[in-house]
Amino acid sequence: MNFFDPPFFRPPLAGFLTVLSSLAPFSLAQPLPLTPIPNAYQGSAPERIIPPPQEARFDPGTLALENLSVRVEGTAPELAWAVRDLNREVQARLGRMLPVAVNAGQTPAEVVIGTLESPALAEAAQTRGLTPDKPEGYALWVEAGGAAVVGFDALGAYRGVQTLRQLLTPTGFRFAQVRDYPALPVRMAMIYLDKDSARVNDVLVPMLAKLKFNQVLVMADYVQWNSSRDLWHPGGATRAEAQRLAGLIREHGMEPVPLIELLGHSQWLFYNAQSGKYDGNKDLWADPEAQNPYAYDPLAPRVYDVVLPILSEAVEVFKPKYVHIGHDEVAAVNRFPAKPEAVAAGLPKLFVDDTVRLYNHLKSLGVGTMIWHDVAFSDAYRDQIAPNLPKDIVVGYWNYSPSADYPPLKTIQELGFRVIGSSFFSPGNPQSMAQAALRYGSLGVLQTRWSGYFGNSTMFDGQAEQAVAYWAAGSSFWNPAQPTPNNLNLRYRDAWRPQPFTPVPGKLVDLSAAVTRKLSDPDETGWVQKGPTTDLSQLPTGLAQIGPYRFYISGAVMLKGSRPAASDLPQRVTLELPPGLKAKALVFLHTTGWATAIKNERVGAYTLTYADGSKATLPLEYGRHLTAWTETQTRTLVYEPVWRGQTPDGLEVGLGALVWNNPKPDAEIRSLTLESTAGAANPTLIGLTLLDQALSGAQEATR
Amino acid sequence: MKKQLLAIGAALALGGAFAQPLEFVTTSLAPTFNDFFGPLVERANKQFGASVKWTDLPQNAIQQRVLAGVAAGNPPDAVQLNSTQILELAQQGALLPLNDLLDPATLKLYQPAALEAFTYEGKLYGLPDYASTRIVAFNTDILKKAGLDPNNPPRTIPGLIEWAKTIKDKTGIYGFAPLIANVDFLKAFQEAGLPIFDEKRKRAVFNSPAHVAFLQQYIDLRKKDYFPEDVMRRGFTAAYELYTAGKLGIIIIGPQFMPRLEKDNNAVWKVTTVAPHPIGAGQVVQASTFAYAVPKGVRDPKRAAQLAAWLTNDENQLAFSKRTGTTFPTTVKAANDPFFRAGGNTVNDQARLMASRTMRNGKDLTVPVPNAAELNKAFKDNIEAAIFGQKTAKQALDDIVKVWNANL
Repeated sequence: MNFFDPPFFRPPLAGFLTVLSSLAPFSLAQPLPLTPIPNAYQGSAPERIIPPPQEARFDPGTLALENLSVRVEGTAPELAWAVRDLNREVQARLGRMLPVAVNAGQTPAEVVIGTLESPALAEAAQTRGLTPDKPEGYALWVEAGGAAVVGFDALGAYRGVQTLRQLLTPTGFRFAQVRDYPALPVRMAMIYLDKDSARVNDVLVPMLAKLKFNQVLVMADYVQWNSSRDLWHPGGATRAEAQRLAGLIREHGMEPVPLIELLGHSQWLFYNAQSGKYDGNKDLWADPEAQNPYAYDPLAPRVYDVVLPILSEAVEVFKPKYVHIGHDEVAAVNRFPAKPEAVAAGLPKLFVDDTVRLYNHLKSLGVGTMIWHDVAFSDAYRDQIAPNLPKDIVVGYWNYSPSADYPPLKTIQELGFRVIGSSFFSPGNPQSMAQAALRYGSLGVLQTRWSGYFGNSTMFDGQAEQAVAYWAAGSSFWNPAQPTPNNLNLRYRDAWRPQPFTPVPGKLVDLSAAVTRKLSDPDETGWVQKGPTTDLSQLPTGLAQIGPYRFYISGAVMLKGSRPAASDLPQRVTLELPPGLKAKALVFLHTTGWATAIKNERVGAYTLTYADGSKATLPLEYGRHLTAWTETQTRTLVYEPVWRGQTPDGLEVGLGALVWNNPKPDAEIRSLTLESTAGAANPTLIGLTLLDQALSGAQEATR
Repeated sequence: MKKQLLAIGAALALGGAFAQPLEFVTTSLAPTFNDFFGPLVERANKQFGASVKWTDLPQNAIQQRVLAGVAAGNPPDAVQLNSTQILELAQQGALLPLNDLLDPATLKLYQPAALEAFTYEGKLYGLPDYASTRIVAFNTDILKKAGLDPNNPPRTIPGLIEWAKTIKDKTGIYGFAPLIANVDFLKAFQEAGLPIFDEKRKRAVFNSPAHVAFLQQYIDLRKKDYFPEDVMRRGFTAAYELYTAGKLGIIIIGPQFMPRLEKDNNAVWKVTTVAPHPIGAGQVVQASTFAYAVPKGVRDPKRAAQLAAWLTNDENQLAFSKRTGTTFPTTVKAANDPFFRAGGNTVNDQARLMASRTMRNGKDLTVPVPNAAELNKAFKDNIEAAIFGQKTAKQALDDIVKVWNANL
């Protein structure tokens, strides 16, 4: 028996040992046992297609990629875009491409992409009982003899290929028959445009296409328009980038809609390129005494000398069907109205006159107008504003709480307006909004994002939860009746770092000898010492597949923290590893016992010590590299939220995996030291696997 | 030339600490109180022998300003925040504890209950400034249309709810807009005498049958459209907008809004009467207190704390609350000034008098918990799920309690 057999957990001895361990660094004399395994990492096809098709049947078997080509029937650009997207998928997963055939019969089997305009494809779809009959609808089949995607129209074929991409498995395309169409005609997603947005939008736009959105609302406040040089913000996007983004959206089967926030939220209109502050255009401020200008004064005639040319340029660049002009929360920050003449006119008249003026300008350019609902249709002003607005203005109704119903969708429609229901990232919000929009026959749905101006980088680290919600929205906007799938964090992550299907061999580390806490807690001496209702007893143990990784799980190496229940744990543990060991990457299955409120706080570190005495350290930052097991909303792409489960009393909990590519992959590893800063969030290692191959996108940072 | 520069540098380093400019930030007080802060800044310039800058920010922008300032190494020296904001920022490591920056005699000037609202894990993170409690305002025109007697207002929350239902039933106008957005239900529980924690403060207990029944009554009210859905989203802002437009019968309101109402819609203001906020079984009423905090990373923490103490001293607090006419000082001496017990002829004077009566039971009911931002979010999301029919009251409260208890 050694100290780490079960009796270790008996309170008296455990207490004695933990007192000792808290006084000195904790080190294990014997190397930890390793188990070699051929598939320590194994990427696989997603379990569910998102958005879920309306009608689908899946059969056993796959269409192998060997001797398979792809061919297009028709000349619509959407068909060529479809081939491009399909081959990107095959390349990312399997490291190869499907050859593009010009004529039928060039390979023994083929994937054919076309529309009902092709008599042969129309007949083939009809034979199978799959004929698409709605705009953007499609038929898809994968059989032993080949595969086809047949759109009701060219966009339908493009949408269908997004489904085919998700049928790819390590052995080929999964056999399936699908007949599909969107439940709602407008499915819009919101993104931001700024100086640094290209690298984010170049990932998000193809991802939104995969999710079958058909319009993209582009927040475009700070674009450096030719007509507004005085307002140019250094963080704003160039006009050329706006034009490029509009093209990118179109080439992914979607329509761009610029959002230029006017009347309220108009800070951008007061940016002063000379001073670098928001002190410009003072004559246009609605509240001249405000310290932070927010709304403009519609009674100031020069407002329209500034705003109308910007709208004209936006139309020129985006070539949209309509422009969203904001008009929300106009009195939310400063006084509105504030000047005596504006007070005399009253908010409703100011709102109507301004909206109609902008609407008329856009109409003269052949473009429609969209506004938010919250002022024009508020309980306070609806009677005075709504009857005086043109009825062809599209209204964005927003409500960011999941709800059984959204009656204002109906109310606004009954006043004669077309409505788009708008949701945010709260779980259930996109689905409940889509269901209500469908129920009331609304024009469509919009998934908003409010990561802030110049906040694009937060989409991969800091506020990724807002982009994860695109997946929930994509699912529900196309097919509101189906439940929103789980593990959407991993699906979003996959858009940035597509998982290859090729297995990676490695070694599982048995941490049993180093365990300091049991995962279960029958007597308030285990896990976080809150008893049997609040523990990790439902985590699989032994050899377990967690996400794409395998681990050997036997308990937790929990380190010291500031909470009383973690105060007697070791602050540092060194895991000795067998001689001669090398690894290209390390995968940590880990968490913290409690959370910290300090964003990106350094809570500990992993340090590799090599046989030559050199070291490499990976600092652990809370929220970026790991989070508490009770915190299931992932805000970063740095770690992978690979396991989701529940405590015995039903609390949602989870664990993350962090991959660290070994900075010295050819050096012999002697040991790994786990360290805690002993703050609120105490690092806790539950699984450790060594990979024989580095993974792309893994954590590289060392110091 | 180089010597000259060195000499200037030495002068700045020695006596220069007091020549460094200072900045303080307030929450949503400009431009209404520009006439107060202008002279205050002039006096501060003399007091500190330096240029003192005043910045005012909207409430929803102020935390971000502090965090951004701390990250960039240029935070303002003193920032006016409410107790929830101070708790969250303190937990995020963005504020300095004030205990060691000020002498005990200074701290004794403040009411102990007010200091307690800004104390977390034994450390003080804010010097109390002004407090504001709630009163009830009635649109007498609407009451009359509903057949209710404005001279005999209800003295209990259930009584207010009954009036609100009568108003909606008889006029079609919303009767009231309860303040239950975000984490306001935590305060409502306390006002109703329902506990948040067990006696040892180890476990959250707000999922008892009594708590469930309390929440259920609001779910039922919303289901029957007795209050607008907008109040869950925009809280008091939506309520005030409706009341100002003459489309709300009763509003629970801070008395400081009465002068604003006078300007925003004089006709509604003229038909408004006020009453003290009903006192429930908890014998407490929410009194929001603002305080000045000192962000981490200020150039001179002691001097920044002195600025916070000066801004909140007897004289300045008394002057500010006399200027607003409707808020209350939190220093022992200023709070006892007879001004705050005097009535008057206008509804604004009456509002102050009603508020001073309510203030006897006033307490900042913010619940300090570890990782407050996350726990508060879990609370808000689940309450909304219950109000909007996504969860039962029991399920929502059970789910919050599970999250809280795993994190406490």
